[in-house]
Amino acid sequence: MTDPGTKRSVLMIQLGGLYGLWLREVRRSFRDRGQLIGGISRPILWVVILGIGLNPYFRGEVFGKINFVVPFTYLQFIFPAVIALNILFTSVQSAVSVIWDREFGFLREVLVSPLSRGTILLGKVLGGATVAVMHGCLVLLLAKFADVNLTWMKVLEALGLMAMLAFALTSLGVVIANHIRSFQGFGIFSNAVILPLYFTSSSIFPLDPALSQEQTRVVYPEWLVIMVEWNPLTYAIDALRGALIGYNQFDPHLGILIMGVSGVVLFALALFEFRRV
Amino acid sequence: MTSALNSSPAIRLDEVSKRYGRTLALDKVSLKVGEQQMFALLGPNGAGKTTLMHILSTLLRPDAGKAFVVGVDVMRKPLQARRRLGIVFQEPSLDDRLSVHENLDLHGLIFGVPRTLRRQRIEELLALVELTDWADKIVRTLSSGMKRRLEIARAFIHDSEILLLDEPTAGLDAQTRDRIWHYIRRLQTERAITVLVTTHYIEEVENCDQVCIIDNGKVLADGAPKALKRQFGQQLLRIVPKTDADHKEIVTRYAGRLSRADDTEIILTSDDTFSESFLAENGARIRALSIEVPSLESVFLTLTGRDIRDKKVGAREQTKAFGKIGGEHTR
Amino acid sequence: MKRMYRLAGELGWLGLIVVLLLLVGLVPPDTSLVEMRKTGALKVCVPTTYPPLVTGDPAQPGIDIEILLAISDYIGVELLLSPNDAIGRDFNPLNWGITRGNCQVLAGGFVDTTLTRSFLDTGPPYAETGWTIVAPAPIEYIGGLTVGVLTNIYGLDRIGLSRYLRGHDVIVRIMRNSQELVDGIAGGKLDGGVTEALLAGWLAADNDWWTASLPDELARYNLVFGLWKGDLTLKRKIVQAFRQLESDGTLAAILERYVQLPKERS
Repeated sequence: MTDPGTKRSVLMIQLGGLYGLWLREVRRSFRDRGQLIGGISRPILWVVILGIGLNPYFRGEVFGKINFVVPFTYLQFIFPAVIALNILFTSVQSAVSVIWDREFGFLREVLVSPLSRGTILLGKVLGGATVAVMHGCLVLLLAKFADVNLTWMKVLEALGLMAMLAFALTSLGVVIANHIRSFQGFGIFSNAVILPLYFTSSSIFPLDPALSQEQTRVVYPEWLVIMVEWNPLTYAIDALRGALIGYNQFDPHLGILIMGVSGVVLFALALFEFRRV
Repeated sequence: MTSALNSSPAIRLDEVSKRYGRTLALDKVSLKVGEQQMFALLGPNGAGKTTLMHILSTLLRPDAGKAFVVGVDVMRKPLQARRRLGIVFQEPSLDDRLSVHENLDLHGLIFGVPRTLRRQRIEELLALVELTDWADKIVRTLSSGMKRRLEIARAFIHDSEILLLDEPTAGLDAQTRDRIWHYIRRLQTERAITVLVTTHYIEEVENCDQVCIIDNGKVLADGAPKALKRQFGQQLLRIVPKTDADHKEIVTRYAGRLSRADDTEIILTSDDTFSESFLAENGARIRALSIEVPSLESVFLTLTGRDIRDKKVGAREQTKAFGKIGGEHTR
Repeated sequence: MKRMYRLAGELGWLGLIVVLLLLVGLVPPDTSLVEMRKTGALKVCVPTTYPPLVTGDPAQPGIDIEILLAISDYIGVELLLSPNDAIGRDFNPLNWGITRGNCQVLAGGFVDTTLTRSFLDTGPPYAETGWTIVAPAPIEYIGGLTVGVLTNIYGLDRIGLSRYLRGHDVIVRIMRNSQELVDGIAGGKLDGGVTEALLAGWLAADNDWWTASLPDELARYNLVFGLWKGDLTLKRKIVQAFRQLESDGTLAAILERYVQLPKERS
């Protein structure tokens, strides 16, 4: 009987376990047909169908007179938002698996391992975020269709932002999953919170940056403008838009800051709650 | 056997207590399991077996008392303890979207087993539980017996010295149960490990080195099966009376020895002399008679005053059992 | 070995998905190209005259016209010009009365700015321009001079220009057209003129004058064609045509014939 514990240092064990858990998430995503189909159908529906469908309402008809005060086509405008949509859905779905693991036992296997709670959580979140970013990249395949020019620099920048967004959203999903005991509860949550969050993040209609505060409130109702301005997702999508089509409605650094801070805070919260399990 | 106990025991519980709300799940439980022993914890559902397992596997903290595995305090040094333990829970804890091989590999990664050793162990263990042909099948496609086998194999991927099995054969048919025990025994001999099993199937426990009977959170008896039978065992007389009148007659006359009676059968506590005399006196009234040697069932009966199977399986247990064999989840 | 098959299978699925999305991306998003082909002609709105982009002279039609001819040739349709007096003259583009019904492409002096792109989509850039000074003789320092300013091109930063000129105590006279500017300089009333680079070069070449582009603090712009937003299929075709013109040197040849580079920079 070899003496266990001298084989590998603690750090190596944690890293090995982290890799194992990360790999598990990625592998599972490949086998989840439903999620993959969602990951393809969403860009197709939003970019292709919605883009073509709404195009006539946003294209120019008369020079000098415009409905859409953004120096890009509507397709270009929503393209980054659809990437965020894919990431949003996938991140939240991977958080659902937290409930699965808890209810159906896999969590126990991990809890009796030498991995620290932090490593376990990090493995789950990194894995979920990776899958979310992969799904976000599926949308990038339609860049040519949406007339978004991709350069390597742009793609790298976008990937960085997508990773941050995915990490924050997956952590958020885990925090919520920790409090929800059943799957129906999660469904309620995702419909009542996730989708409204997405739609009020300046993702599909822009707040015209050229208009002042008062003017904006003339165009849109006050409560809507407040929702958009207070929604952290707004700034994340804005940063992504800045990277991909070079259009920012807000300070680009704001998006990065918000995503970074919320990612750290949410992860810490998830860890804190997880430690008490 | 006793010498093994006196040298440092593989598992030791000292006055462990755990309370859930108003229920006392464990009441000052003390146990010692010697090295390389096959130890069975016997008791009905709700006796506190699972709670005990959870404490030993560092998932739960007791309200009082201490627990040690191979000398490591599970409360003070849980990570160290975990490295020595191989655990198979009541509910399957496999990832059913991954393949058999991937599940084992994942376990190896989580427990810090280096790559070559991992590969080697996976091969060995798959061969041992005869799942080699199924190595690349998705776990969801396996039967519950095979899943159990896989979980047992998985417990050995890392350097475990103690195997904790919580109701390993619950929900399986008799033939599969036999096979599972076959693999457990084989692993125990080959790896020279200590095994602690909880179960409510009395027949499985006969071949264990030591048995502990637990009910309502208290240890009722602890010793080798033979010793227990000798101490608490009760010879039983199983009588099938000829007519209803005969039935009534026997029941009234031997009320003091009555253990159980239903429509067809009467069970009386007995010993050698009584059995003979009964037959002589009541031969005409009975259709069939059988003498049961002391068994652990009777030991249990004596100690608790009821049959281990008496407890009605509640709805919760039913659902749990359903869940154990895979449940409805199709993911 | 089965493991390898599984991995290959999964990657295969992934590859299939990628291919599917790429194929979907090839679906034409609109009917602009198809519509244009149906009529058999590329309709372009241009100013009646804005040399060197649009001259009105059939022998030397202008940079934009020649490029448009080459493009329509490439696509295989006719070129139909729709001259418009108001372009560039009126500050408010709404008064130009250009709609989708008039033309599919706008040319003859549009620069790529955020403002332009709020209204239109743009084709590839083909020339650079900016504010340029033109005078009979080289001018060392513009301060204190009387200068005629002609801003007949939509999109250049007029405000920045006036700020710059006022900052240098330049006396500004607004010109209504290039003839007025030329007369003013020739007649001596103006020390020089400030206008868009290509036009300045054209005027200078005509009158043997000197030009210099104003300092870099005033921006440089790209000249582009304007397209309606949402006419993606047409835009793609035009981009394709442009690439062809660039690679076979046609574009360079056209520009060479018309553009007089400023003699100096001040």
